[in-house]
Amino acid sequence: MTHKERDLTVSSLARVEGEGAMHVVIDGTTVTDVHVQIYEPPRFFEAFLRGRKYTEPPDITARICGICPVAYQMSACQAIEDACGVEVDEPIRALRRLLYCGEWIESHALHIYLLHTPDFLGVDSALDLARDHKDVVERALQLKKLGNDILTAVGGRSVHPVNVRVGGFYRAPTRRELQALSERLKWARDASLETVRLVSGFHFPDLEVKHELVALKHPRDYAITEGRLASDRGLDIPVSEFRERFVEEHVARSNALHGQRADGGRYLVGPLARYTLNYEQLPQVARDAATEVGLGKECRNPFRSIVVRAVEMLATCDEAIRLIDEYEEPERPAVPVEPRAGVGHGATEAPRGLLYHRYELDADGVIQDAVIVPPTAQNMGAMEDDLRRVVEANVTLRDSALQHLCEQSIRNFDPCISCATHFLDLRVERR
Amino acid sequence: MTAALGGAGRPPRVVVVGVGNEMRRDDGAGFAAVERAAPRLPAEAEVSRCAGDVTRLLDAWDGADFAIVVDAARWPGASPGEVTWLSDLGADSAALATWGDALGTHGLGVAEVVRLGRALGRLPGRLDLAAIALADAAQGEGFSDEVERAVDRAAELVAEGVRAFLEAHPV
Repeated sequence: MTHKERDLTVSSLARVEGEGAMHVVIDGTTVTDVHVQIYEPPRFFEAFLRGRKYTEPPDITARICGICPVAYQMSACQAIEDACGVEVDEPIRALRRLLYCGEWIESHALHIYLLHTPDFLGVDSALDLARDHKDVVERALQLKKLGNDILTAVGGRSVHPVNVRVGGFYRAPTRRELQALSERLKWARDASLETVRLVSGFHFPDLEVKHELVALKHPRDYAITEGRLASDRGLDIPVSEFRERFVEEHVARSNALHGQRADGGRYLVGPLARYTLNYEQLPQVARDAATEVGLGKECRNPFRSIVVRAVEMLATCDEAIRLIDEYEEPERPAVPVEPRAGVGHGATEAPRGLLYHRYELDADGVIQDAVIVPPTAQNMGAMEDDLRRVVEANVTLRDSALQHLCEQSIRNFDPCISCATHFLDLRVERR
Repeated sequence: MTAALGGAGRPPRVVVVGVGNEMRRDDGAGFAAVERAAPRLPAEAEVSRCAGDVTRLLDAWDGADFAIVVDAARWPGASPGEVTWLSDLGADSAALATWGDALGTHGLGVAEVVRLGRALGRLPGRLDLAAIALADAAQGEGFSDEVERAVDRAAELVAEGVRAFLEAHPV
């Protein structure tokens, strides 16, 4: 048999935050190679943190990502406080959760509507969406602005919040400042329900993933700010044991580290894992919405992650309303944190998935070692496996259609490759 | 010719936004340019940053009579440190056409957000854009020599642009 060799190149993959490349090799009808490349020095920030004071990681790590700075701040604070043997007061925990809700609402609205929905409606971009579905884009922008305004109210500003510190906040917002957001949040909850209904009506390609699903799990709350590490295969360990169960492998073709289980297996973090492991912790309004659209109690189709994100956005709006209703200005905006020699671990759920931090401090609080494991790096193996399966199942498609499906598959992960990288170059090679 | 804006004796609302990532070397040029311009701007001019999600620009310039966006960018034929000024993008739909998506280094680019704003009727009264051709977007702080000089030049242009606009639109 003579194989026809073809190369397809897309100079940049739109609607993905970051910079990287994907390469698919198809030999006849067999997919012989799939890999996602990352170009940047992934450990820049870890090196940058060494020698810095224990109070600095929230501000420094917030600059890793313009989309999810709060995730970096919260994981960093947790890890430093763990190293220093400090637990924050309950009102501070609640305020952190509210801040995180703002980031989730903004990030999920951005990804659901402006980055992912164009795939399902057969348009090229948010611009095309705006021409044909102006009301939908306006709804997205209002949701995003509300998330942004929560970040400003609690975090001091939306881009790289400045009000966050180890131990809590520099200033606690007043009850009145937060209540000003409540009515808009009620609108946002309704808008999120409409979002669930809208995106659940899209057509979803068949794909059932078998990766181990890993997320934080908390007995009471939907996993955002804290919990134990859990999986659908019975994992239940404290965050401090993260590196005993999960490792990062250096892949020769990439500057980035790819996460995998210590026994070599793949795992998946992010909305599918969170939802499947934490369905019971969702507020009733979110469970009702999931039931209404037939989502079920677990979801393993990555193309349906857009529906899960919409349910999560609904849950987060509801949670933010509750947090504001119950908010009392704390007696102190932060607990004192004195340095001590030790190691601390922190993990929270960034919109894209589990984000782990580990810091080693000396007695003066100077950082001796830092480890940051972002969700996109952990998902790299799952991303490549999904791509392989999508290409194998659709190998007869024309190149343009196959290429689009590959791009959509990557966008299922809402990859924030900028946590570790930038531009994405997509190449499909047929031999 | 002068024209009054703002209404009811209110001064025109002027917004200056730097776009970028200061931990990606020259990509932080937009932030630095607007911050260096700030002391030379009237106190009522609003100076802000936009990082990560560039669609936040739609909120940043919402209701503004005049907005200037400063961003580091790559475009064909540009020399590192070159500063290009695009005027009145709302009125000139062709101004961005030749730039395609080369403008900006972010996931959803500034050019795309300008087009989105135009489609939604969410552009400011006038929108100007200063693009600084970057040389080095590796991780780290500080600018290449060419971009360091270009940041000062862009800051001067921003201050001059605001001054000229306010002179043309007195209260």
